[in-house]
Amino acid sequence: MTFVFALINLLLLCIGCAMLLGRCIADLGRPLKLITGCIIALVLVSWCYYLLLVIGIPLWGLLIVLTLANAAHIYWGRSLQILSVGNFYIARPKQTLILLVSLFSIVLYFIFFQSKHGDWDAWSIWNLHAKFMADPRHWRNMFAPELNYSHRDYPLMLPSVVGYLWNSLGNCTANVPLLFALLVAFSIPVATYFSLAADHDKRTYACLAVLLFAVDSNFKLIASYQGADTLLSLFILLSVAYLLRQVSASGNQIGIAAFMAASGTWVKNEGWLFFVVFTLAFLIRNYRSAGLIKKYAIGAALPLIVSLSFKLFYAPANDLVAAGGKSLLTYIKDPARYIAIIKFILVALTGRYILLTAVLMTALILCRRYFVSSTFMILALVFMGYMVVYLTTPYGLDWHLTTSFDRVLQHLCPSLIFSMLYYVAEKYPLKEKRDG
Amino acid sequence: MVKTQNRKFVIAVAMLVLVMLTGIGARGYQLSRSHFDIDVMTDALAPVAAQIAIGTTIGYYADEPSDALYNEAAYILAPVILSKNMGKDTVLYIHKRDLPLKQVPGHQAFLISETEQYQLILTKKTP
Repeated sequence: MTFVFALINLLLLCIGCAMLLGRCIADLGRPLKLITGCIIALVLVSWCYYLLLVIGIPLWGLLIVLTLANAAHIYWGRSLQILSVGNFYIARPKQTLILLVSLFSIVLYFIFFQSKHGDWDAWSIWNLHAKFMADPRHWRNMFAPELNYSHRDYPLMLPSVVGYLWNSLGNCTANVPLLFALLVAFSIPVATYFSLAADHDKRTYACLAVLLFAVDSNFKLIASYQGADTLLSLFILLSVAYLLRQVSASGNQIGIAAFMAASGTWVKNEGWLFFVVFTLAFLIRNYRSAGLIKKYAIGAALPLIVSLSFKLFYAPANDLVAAGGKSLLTYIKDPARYIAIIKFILVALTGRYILLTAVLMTALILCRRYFVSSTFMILALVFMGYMVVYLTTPYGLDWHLTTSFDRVLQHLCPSLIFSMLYYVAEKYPLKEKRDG
Repeated sequence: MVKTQNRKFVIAVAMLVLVMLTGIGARGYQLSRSHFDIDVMTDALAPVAAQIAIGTTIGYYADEPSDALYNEAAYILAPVILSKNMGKDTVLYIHKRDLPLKQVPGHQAFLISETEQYQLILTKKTP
């Protein structure tokens, strides 16, 4: 009963956030509003649940607050109207079918290959943390030195959402993280599709994007791991999408982009690297526009406060930071490490990531402008940042590359595909034919 | 004409969504019925978990120095903490069946649970 109540509140909060978003940004399609609203609602619930644990309020306290907030926005905001998106789908049957087929391929992958408890990281890190967070009385045990192996400094968005649902359900069933992973996997092609399809001349490219996700088995495999990598890639994707949608200084899209980029720090530590690069790129481009900088700061403030509070008051030092230092210079000077990393990347890009390489090559031929754009620079710099981490890792280089390269590529791939198609679509706009 | 096309389209979409939801439901049900290593260990550790106060720290020792086994047990018993320090009042000893049984010094076994591979022995310090 509590679970149903918690779930209904979460769903209503999604709608409320979408409605508020619609008031802040006028020219946003309803589907994109709904998706962004859902993501913001998830972030809010994870913050509230984390706050609940910190302060020591019982779960029903949070549920009462959520119910009151939801009742208010339904009564005064008439927010349920946002659900009337039916016309969109009927007006564009071909595109909708392509999107559904792409989602169907993810479901097929889930049916045939999804494991119950996810991969090693899922149950020794993310779901383990969620299990602690599901118990408000003993959640601080998560930071015990005995659990050093579980990376106690990892941010808490995924564990707090799963913990919130487990706590309301009253048991820690494996179905919750499993279905949440599927939902996150769904949201990437859906967000890509609607971010591109918001402009009329990019709808064909939107279909192409979702088809790429449908055939990309790396994406589906990593999404099935139940880790936080795909969730982070969703935040990076939406940051990039809203950055590209900010066409004038008067819009509020940049505030949403900042919120998404800063919320990445609440998902994974890699989110910090993305946020720093993203913010620097934004500031270099817009340092003269005080209005935009103000909107950016407002959007990023709250997520940063939550992430910093966790880092300052609870999280121990990161294992890479704690172990590194002494041999840093030795590693940087060692040419063998550079060769090993480059070799590994080349093998990956010409093997299991051949589809990504082919798409990159095609974009290089069709639209070179993309490769000097700020969006590509942001993604390239984050990738370089990851490579520097590999270069200076205190762990075995081969082991570190083998266990994490695919996952960190997952952070960037959806945004890369989206932004690339966005630029190609700008250069070669395709007018859609009427389906009816 | 347009209305008929719309109706067909809505039916097609509804069918596809229904197939997806059925697939997800069926797979979810199948997974919840199937027993993986963690599930086998969860069942075996259930009586052990019932004897340990929630949120406390107990000792842990295993014949096999396997990270996977330790992480598995820590995940299942969370929010109980498993410490590799053997000086705790309660110790969980995971004995691999094909290896000789050891004695936790100063402790007495008071609960034994079993899987095909392991004996899970909960011991308490003798007064």
